[in-house]
Amino acid sequence: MNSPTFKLFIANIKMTFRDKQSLFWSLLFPLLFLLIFGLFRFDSPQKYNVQFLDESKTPVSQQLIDNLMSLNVFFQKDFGTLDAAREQLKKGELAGIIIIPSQFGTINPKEQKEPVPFNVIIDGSNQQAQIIGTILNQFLNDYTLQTTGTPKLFTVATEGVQGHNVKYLDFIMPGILGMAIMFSSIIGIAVGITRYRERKILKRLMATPIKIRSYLISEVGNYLFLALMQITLIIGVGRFLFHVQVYGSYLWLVLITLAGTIIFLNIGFFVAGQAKTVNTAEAMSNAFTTPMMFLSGVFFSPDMLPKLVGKIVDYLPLTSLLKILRGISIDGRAPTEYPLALAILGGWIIVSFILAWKSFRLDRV
Amino acid sequence: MPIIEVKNLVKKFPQPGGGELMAVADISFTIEPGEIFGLVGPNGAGKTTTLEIIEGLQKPSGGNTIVLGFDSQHEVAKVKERIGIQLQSSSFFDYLNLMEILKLYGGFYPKQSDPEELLRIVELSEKRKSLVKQLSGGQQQRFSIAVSLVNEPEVVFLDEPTTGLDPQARRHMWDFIRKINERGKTIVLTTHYMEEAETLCDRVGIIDHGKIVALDTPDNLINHLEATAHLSFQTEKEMDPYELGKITGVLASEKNGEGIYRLKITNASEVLPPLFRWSHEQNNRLNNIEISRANLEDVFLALTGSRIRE
Repeated sequence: MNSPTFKLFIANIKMTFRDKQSLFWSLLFPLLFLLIFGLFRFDSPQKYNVQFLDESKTPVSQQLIDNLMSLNVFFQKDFGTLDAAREQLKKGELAGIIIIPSQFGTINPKEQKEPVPFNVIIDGSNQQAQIIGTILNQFLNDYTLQTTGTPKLFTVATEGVQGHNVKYLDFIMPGILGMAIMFSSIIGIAVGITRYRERKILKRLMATPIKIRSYLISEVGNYLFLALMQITLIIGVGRFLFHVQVYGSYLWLVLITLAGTIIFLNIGFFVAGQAKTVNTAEAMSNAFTTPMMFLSGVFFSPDMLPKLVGKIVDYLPLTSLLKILRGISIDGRAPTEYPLALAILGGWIIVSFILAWKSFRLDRV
Repeated sequence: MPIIEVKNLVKKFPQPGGGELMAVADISFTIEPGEIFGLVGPNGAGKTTTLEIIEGLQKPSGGNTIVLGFDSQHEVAKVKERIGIQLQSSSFFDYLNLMEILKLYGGFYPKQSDPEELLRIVELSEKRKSLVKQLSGGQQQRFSIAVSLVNEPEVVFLDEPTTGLDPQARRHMWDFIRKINERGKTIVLTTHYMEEAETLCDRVGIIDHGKIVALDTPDNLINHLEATAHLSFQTEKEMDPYELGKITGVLASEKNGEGIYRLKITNASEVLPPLFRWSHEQNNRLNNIEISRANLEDVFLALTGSRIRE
């Protein structure tokens, strides 16, 4: 514990905590994403503004309106006449107008030959508004069957295959975990070391008997420590503030994230070895991180990508990392259930280490 | 037994347009224990490259360097443990205070100096809790000298220790360097200030275009000059400086734009009597007579044919 490596590691951690601004941002930035995505109500069912024009005005028509409203799909609005309602429909204030015909409720099924038109006016540009017609149709069919006394022959029984209800935040939290360590590791190492080299801090360090290996190990240790803080904070805030559910093992979640951190640190060292100035290091880091953030499925599943692109994206380190993290967090699985993704991660650890080692040579310090 | 030996050192750098730049062109010299040795020359002469090869920070293209009996290429760790290095431009960590930096750097060596004592030597004890960026330029330079002493080194390398300092801070720095030397440490420094080399160094190696053109004590270097002094004065009546060149003992004569005549001479007591006689005969009074000894700047001019390029 008295080795130069350890002393440098402790000094690095000290410096990380004293650089309050960058510490604040590297910890707050991922939480900001969690907060923003927590605000969107992706999970609550969508509701539609509708206006009923009841031309029947019978207890039966009122019963129909009550029953439709109890579905919790509609907000009832009242803009007055049909023309006024049509205006609001054009403006987008209404998704549909349901006109209950005057015969409704007084109709005698025995005498009725032709079905009475039940007019629904919807906003043609709003595709989702089509559902209003579908719901109403379903409702009227049931009503017809009831009033004519025809027995129902089939009923749909829906069975949820997934054992639990996955919220969007449950999906996004592992994504933010991967994104956060990717950004802070690649950018932190690449920019940090390039700055040290530009200001000849590294050269001064190498004028002492300390080995470059010791220095690199102390930096890796420092960033693993930072990653551990980020992981704890993201999972903690997600769990207790946003009620994100983690169904699998927390330990696996942390260990796999740290494995990912190693890959991203290596990429950071690679960039630091290549970039001559801090500006180049920043640009190169962005070239690695930004495409991965969008392609590897931080916010959306990469399944939506074109097949060929998807195949390539599958081999990016962040894709495999997120696949395993989501498996653990959402499905409660063990990492061993994802052998291909694990193999890709392992491959990246080796390849990125070799790249970093080749790129980051002592004589360029 | 020299403390540092440099033998046939060569360093070539590949040029961007192809070809090679000969930064150090086959130089050899030795440095004795306890001396302040200066490598003097213009920017780009090869001073820093030479120094960094001796320190083991750069690899030579040819030749070798021995420091305290260790080869700086093959026994780098042993050399680094025993020497102190101040780089020409380098900085230290932003978020550690002076005390912490000294302790951290000391921790990299088997032998350590007391950080408090180091700060006292460079008069920065009151700044022990400050960050480097809170120090003035001169204080930063002094601090980097303190860091070079963390391992009780036997030799201290100072690369341009006073560059960028104002004249007062520079003189202050000379005192520190002498103080460190008095503590028994050999000092190897580079500078492009001739005055600094002359007042501070026991021996000076003048380096130009990668070659050592002269190496001796400042006194000897100056005494070996043909003209070891200058005589300057003004006259009541204007005249041709060529006439002055005929006087015994005058090696060269010139007149500058302000009407000051300047004679290069070897021995003032030889030149003055005939000069006074001449002035009397011409009925031309001499005013503001000044005799000054030649300096390293003159040595450099005589050796390279050009003034030192700032």
